[in-house]
This record gives sequence, C-alpha cells and structure tokens, in this order.
Amino acid sequence: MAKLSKIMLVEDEPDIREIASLALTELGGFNLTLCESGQQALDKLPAALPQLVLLDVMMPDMDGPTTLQKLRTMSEMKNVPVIFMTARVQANEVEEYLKLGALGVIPKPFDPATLSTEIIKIWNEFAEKNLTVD
Amino acid sequence: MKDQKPALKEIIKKYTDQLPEKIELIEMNLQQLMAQTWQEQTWHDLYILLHNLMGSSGTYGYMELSQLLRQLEVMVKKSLIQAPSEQDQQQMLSLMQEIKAAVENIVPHE
Repeated sequence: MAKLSKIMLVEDEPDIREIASLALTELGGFNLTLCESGQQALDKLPAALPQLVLLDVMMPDMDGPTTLQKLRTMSEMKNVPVIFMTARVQANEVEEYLKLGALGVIPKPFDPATLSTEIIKIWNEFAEKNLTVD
Repeated sequence: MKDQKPALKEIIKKYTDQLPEKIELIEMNLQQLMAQTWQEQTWHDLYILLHNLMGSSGTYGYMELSQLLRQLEVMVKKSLIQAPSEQDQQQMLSLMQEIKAAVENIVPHE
C-alpha cells in the first residue's frame, strides 16, 4: 500500500480546522484538502482523491455518518478509508462508527502534536490487515 | 502541547486572546435562556456553542477549561429535552463561574 500523503479533513469548527490543518501539514507533512462541511467534501472529493478522509461527526446540515454514507455511493470513493474525529467516544458510539465502515476514531479534544502520529498508526494497522484500497 | 512551532504558537495565541469573548457569549446566552420561556432550538444553539468550545479548548491545550465546559455541555444537553429545574439552573450558573475563573487564569485581565 502506498505511503499516506493525501488527506482530506472535514471539520466545521474554524478553530479546530485551523489547528488541525497546521498540525497535519507542518508537523505531519501531509498534502491536505480542507473542507468545512460534508457537502463541500462530497464536492471536492472527485478532484482531490485523498487516500484518507478525517471526518468530524457533529456538523450542521450533514453530519459525519451521513457524509460517509453519501461518499460510499461515489464510485471512486467507495473504498476510501475514513477516520471519525469526535468527542462522542463511548464504547457503543465507537462501535456504531466502526459498523458504519470507519477505519478508526480519533477522540476530541486531540493533541495537535501527536495527531499525525495517531493517524499514521491507524493507517499502518489498516495496511497490515492487507485490505485493498483502490 | 509538546511541539510548538512558531505558526502553532501564533494560532494558539490568537485563540487564547479570543477566549474571554467566547465565554462571555456563552454566559450571555445562558442567562438569556434562563430568563425566557423554554424552547428546544435556543438551548440547542447553546449546546452547539459549548460542544465546539469544549473540543477546541482541549485541542488548544486548555484541558481544565475543556472539562468544565464538558460538564456544562452535559447539563445543557439535558435542557434540550425539558426546561432545567431551579437546581439545575443554579448548578449551571455555578459552573459558569468556574469556567470564567479558569479563563481568568489563562488570560488575566490587563
């Protein structure tokens, strides 16, 4: 599996978007596409073609799980790995996200200094499982 | 936060400088909601404000503030279903004071 370099971050809260963006680009060295809503993510996905999507759960208009469901209907995105970022991390909630097809969950608040490392860890576990990503 | 590059330091400072204003907005909303007839949507707006600030304050390194906001968020979430009791209102106002004190520790008045 290719090394992780292209990420899309979907987050409605500007302060979190700003610090996560810096953490992922400056500290993580990722090529990042930023989106402030689920709809914007769906619009940008075909051109951005990220290897991984970081998706906020609680967003107005279209929440994370709905965005994920819609994204799965796009032929080029049906297998793209998605990690949810959320403060709702009770066991039953995490189980629900995984059932929806999320690769993992990053709890909020997160530490910007270790965000990239956490993502790479989840990505590597995914790679080790030898799942196929188109 | 273990690693603070100049750009990170800069946005943390910007966020920190805006904290008192954000807390003031939450306090004002809370007081207004308590003074008026209960409506789910208005409490929901406050819930979203609190939820976002809880997440962002912790991410910017202010864990104590984030935990206090979390407690208030839980109480406000209860108020989405029904009007808060007198006791709940007092508890929310008391938490609000703790939140203001936490912010005062982060951003002292000049």
